[in-house]
Amino acid sequence: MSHDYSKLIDELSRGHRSRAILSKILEVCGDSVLDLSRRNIVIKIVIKAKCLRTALENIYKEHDLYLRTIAASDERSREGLFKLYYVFGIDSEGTNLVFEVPVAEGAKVDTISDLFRASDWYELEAHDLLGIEFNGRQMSRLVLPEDWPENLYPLRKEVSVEELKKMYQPQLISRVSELGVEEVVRIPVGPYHPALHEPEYFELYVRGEKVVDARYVGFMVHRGIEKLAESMKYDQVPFLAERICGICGFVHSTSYVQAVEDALGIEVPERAHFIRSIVLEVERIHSHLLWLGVALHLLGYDTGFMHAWRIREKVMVLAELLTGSRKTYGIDLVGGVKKDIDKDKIPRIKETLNVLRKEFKELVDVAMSVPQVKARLTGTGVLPRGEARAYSLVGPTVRGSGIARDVRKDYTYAAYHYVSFKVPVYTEGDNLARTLVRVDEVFESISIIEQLVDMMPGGPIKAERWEPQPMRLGIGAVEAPRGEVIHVVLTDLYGPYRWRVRAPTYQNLQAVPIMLKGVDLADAPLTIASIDPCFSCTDRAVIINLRSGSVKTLPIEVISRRVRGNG
Amino acid sequence: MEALTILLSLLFTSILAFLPPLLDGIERKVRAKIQSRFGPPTFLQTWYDLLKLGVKELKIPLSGESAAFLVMLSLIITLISLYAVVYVALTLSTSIDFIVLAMLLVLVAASHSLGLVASATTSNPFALIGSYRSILLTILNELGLVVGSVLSILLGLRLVTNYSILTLATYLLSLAVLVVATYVSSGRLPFDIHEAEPELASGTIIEFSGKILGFYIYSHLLTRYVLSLLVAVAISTPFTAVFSPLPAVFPATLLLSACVYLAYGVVATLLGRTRVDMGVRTLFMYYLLVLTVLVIFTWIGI
Repeated sequence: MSHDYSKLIDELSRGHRSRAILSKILEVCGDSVLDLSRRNIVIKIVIKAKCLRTALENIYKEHDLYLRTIAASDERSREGLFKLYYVFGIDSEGTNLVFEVPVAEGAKVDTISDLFRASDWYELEAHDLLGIEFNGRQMSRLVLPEDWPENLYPLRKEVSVEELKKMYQPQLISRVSELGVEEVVRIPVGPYHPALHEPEYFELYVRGEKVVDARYVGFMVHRGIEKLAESMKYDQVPFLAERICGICGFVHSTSYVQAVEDALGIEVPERAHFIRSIVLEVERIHSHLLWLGVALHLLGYDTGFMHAWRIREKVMVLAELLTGSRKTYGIDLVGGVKKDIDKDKIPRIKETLNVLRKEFKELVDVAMSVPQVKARLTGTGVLPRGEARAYSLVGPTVRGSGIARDVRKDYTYAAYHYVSFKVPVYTEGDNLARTLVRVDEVFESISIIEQLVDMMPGGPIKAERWEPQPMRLGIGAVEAPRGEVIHVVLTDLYGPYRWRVRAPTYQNLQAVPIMLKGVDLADAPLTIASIDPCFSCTDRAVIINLRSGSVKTLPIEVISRRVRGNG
Repeated sequence: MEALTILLSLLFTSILAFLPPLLDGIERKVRAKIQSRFGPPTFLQTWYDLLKLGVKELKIPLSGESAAFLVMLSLIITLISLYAVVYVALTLSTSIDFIVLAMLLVLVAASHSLGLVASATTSNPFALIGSYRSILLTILNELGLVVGSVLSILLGLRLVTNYSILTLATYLLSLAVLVVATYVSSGRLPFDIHEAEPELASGTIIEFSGKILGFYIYSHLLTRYVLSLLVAVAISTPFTAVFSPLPAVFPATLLLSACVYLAYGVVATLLGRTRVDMGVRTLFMYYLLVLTVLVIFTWIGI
């Protein structure tokens, strides 16, 4: 790299913040920077692994810089090495700063988990799935189970999906032989509590009724979605992406298609942007209503829970009117959407929104007037602003701690730059603050949909044609109800070469142990729920018939019907 | 007369023993209406649920072999307490049998305690957490129950013979104490914290299932009814001096007890769940205030 960086910095910067940060990086790591480039809002720095930590040590205290995601990729077939993509966001500028770090096989990278605490899980995941080693930290299993074989890294290209599926079957077959039976059903039994809707494990250390520490273990039902997508075509992946989450699936499919569109420079028609934005806001409203109902249920106020979900039913009907489905809408395509919004639906949309606004306000007024609800939300599960910033938190979790971070404003996408809306922020950092952020967001979402519906332009709803190109990096980010969803895509000719998904709960969960410390045991479920966690689970059982040699997977409900002798 | 009263008390007790699950079915329907849903298909649903539990296999909780015995003992004691309150209602005219009233209060306390001990014997940490929470509340609340029931019935009788504004005010105040104490004892929201936090600590009945759970729930519903009947007796006490218990006052008392039961259910629907420390604090402040006023009124001379 040339030593005269000032001209380069001027060319690449998007504002004074990125200029300052780039200057610092080049000052300390000039010779280790292999390439610098910018495309739209993404500034990419290709940097040697040995200088990554030095570069980040010099910028980690920047107040508006946060770690959005880290994607690890196996590019040995292309360039003979692995790569780590560290995606940072400069909120005040809406700039993505991507550090692309080539890593030779067997080489180690210095950890940054002490600088950016949010990177802890990303490094563990990169190690679990690709075998990348990190210096200066303890490694342990995160995503894969404890008994996963050593040296088997699922995201490496030489490991196929079929191989992974077959992996546990020999163990099951030998177990079946031991038992001397013809057929065996293996039910994954995890830390499943009757009251929890998804497999999650929180270990709470209590003294009396006070929580003194907490430990979280997750990834009980890791589905290998990123690996699956590598064998799919571009337009098949949105349907897979939408099934990442049962509540906020559309944000994932939108985030994915935006990443591909960003990578390939696809121009999406304005009308499609408007439709995506409308559906995203409908999804936000339904998700927040669902959460509010669950929160009130956890507080014992079941009347509020029932009414919240009664009101939510109107939103589900609205979603069906717009997309044809109550959930998993299936309308996203790379380059646009599949389904249009007819003019005759507009009056019904507006009428539904009016009723929704009125009934929701009544619900919130009544719920907040219940003494137990307000008393138990106030002052519990406090997350200080400093910790929220240190952990690079997102969504209502971070906005409840006084940081106005919202992808719709900071890294605007779709049609959000056409509408006027507030980003609700509360500074108390307690459960009530996070609740009120979501309440206010519902009203804002209603207003956003009304504006979008009034302003919707005519025209096509998808791009006419687009050409895939290999090894292009694209980032797609959407403000989901729980916070920022960010997808990183490396393209290939027929589908994604690498697809990295980062859901907001992945980022926010790491702060839950901090929120739980000092909390009463009774308030622990509510505090955990206050980040609106979405663990996205599924239960599957594997049935092996030794006689026929067939291997089938069945949902638990089908098995339970079989057990009752119904089929 | 005494033998007749005892026989009548036994007769009414036998009939009333079938009432609590029916009242619970009605309460569930009313709650569903408030929550804009259908609720159970029939008022008899609670009975169906209990019968269904009754035909399940008997599963003794691990290390809780005495739990089944204690639950049955608690149920028997609750039935006896129902008899006691019916007897008080039938014999209430110008005087009260304090021995029976005292026995009633002891029986109610015993029934609560046995239920908690039954849970605690299972050694399940969730059951222990729930029992601990319940004990905290119960210790504080029993004071209100005793003071409220004794004073309200005493003053109710005195109202007829020695009416004054002060007597009326004290009577109403003691009734308020009794209402709160019986509501808390009934284990409804916001004070259902012994079985609270279902997302985390499933509380006192976590180890109960099948028949044991059925008997526990029935005993719990019966206790709720006994407490409602106690309130109804306290409210109707002034009238027993004017009208005889049978055929006038007692049927009205029974009707009133059903109304009290359902009113408590409606109130529970409108509230959230308190936390154990908040619940104890709230109750303590309430009893401190009201009992102080009662003491002052007593000192003034009612």
